[in-house]
Amino acid sequence: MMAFVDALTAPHLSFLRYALIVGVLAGIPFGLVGAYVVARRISFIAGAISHCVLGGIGAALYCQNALGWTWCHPMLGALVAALIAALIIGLVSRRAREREDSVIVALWVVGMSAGLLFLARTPGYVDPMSYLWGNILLISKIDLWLVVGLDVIVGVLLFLFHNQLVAVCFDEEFARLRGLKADLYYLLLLFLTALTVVTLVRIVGIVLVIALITLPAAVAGALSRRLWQMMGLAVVFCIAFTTIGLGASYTLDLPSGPVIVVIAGACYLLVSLLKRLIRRFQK
Amino acid sequence: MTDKPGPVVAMENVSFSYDGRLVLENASFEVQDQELVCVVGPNGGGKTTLIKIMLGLEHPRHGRVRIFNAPPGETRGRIGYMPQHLQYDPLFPVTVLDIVLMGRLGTSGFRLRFSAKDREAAREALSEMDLADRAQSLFADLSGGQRQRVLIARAISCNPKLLLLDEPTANVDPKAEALLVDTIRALNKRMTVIMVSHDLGFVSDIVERVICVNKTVHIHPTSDVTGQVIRDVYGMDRRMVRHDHHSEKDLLDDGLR
Repeated sequence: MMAFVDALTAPHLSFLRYALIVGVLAGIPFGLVGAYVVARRISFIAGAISHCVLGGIGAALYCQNALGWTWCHPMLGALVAALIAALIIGLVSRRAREREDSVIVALWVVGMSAGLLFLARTPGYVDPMSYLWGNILLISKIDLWLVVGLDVIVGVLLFLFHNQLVAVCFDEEFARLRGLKADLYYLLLLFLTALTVVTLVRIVGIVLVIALITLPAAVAGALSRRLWQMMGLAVVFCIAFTTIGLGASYTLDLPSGPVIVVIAGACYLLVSLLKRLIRRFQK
Repeated sequence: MTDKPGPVVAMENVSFSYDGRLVLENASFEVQDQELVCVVGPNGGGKTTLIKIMLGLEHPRHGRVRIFNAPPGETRGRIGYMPQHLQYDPLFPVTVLDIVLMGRLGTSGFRLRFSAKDREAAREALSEMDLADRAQSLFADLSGGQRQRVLIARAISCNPKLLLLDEPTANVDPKAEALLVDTIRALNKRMTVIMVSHDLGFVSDIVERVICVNKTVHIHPTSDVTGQVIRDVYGMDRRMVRHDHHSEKDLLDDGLR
């Protein structure tokens, strides 16, 4: 682990510093939004949104390299795709009388496939694997500022609408009767989920990002009584998982995404088992 | 805020269909200020639909609905509503007080944080429901009867003039049910109460009139709810168990009286 600490200060390893800073900063929206996502039981929607991100990244890279739109940064594509996916899921679940899970799965696979098709037609070699599983070598200063920006947006929106979001998550119909625009708040929650997902795509990748939305909040949920407690603890756990994971992945020379997720999963399992044991012991 | 004169609820020839199936047909009735009435009928007979129309959550195909002499939906601020407690996620991390505070949303525009006044109103509603000491408990840790009372507290925390209760006795043990009877009577002293129940015995104890819904709507004073009326509403004979908690033995009867 000391090697990791040394590496953080090494001038030629700036990507590692960036990765750590992004991981810590991203822990904030992941913990905050993850708590709502887990409490409202919409983790699978977060999964669909994150997989659609590949469609946006593919389209952006295609525009950049095939059409010469240099401003079309992959993360911009990721952001737009995530928001569109959230909007579609939100509208379908409210308006259309479709089976919600079918629509979510359709969006999940089509978004991902579209991304792979764009990448196949993008000139030059683009490795889809680095987006699917994350690659900290790709992290740049732009990502850093992106995460800072998203932190501010997510933080401000949650500060403003916490009570309303809790009410809508707990009992949508009642919230509507109290004059809240419940559909709008539900859509806001999906948008926040989309913004959050995008922040960590670089480090843990599209496929595994859902783990960091769900697992820290699930661990926190086992230890807290109220939503704001769950949010705070989830932030702490998320930052701990990414930091320890990055350290372990550097020390053991393993890919960062899977290491982070395995640590988070192990912690979740441990806490669940301990909670069950304690409950049995109390009886 | 003074109420305009006239009935609290007025429905005229209201028809409603869901997915092409006629659920309500030509329903007409009025509920006056300070009344305590009950909506009874078989499952799927349109009871909950009737409540949702009053709340403006469903819109009838035909007919006229007025709540406080205004279209439903416009007067929601004056209505307290208690849905059935079984639809809630038991793992959702909220305390009893959090839930009751939700009833304060929308009482005076947008709020960033709940004010001291909101908290006071929520605590008052909880003590009225005899749950002041459970304010910090988790909803999931409560019994069925307590959860029902938490939801009533949430409904009354905005000081409504009309209270709508959907199946207040569902999954509640007899002792808790007796407590609910007293609670509802006490609330009726300051607000109009309409409740839905499939439990005719519970109803006959406290209400003055029953609205019988089985696609069509009929009004009966409770004293008139006889075996014939029950046959008409439910389409069959129904063996009734009277819930008379004041006597030692429950009476078995073929009608209500």
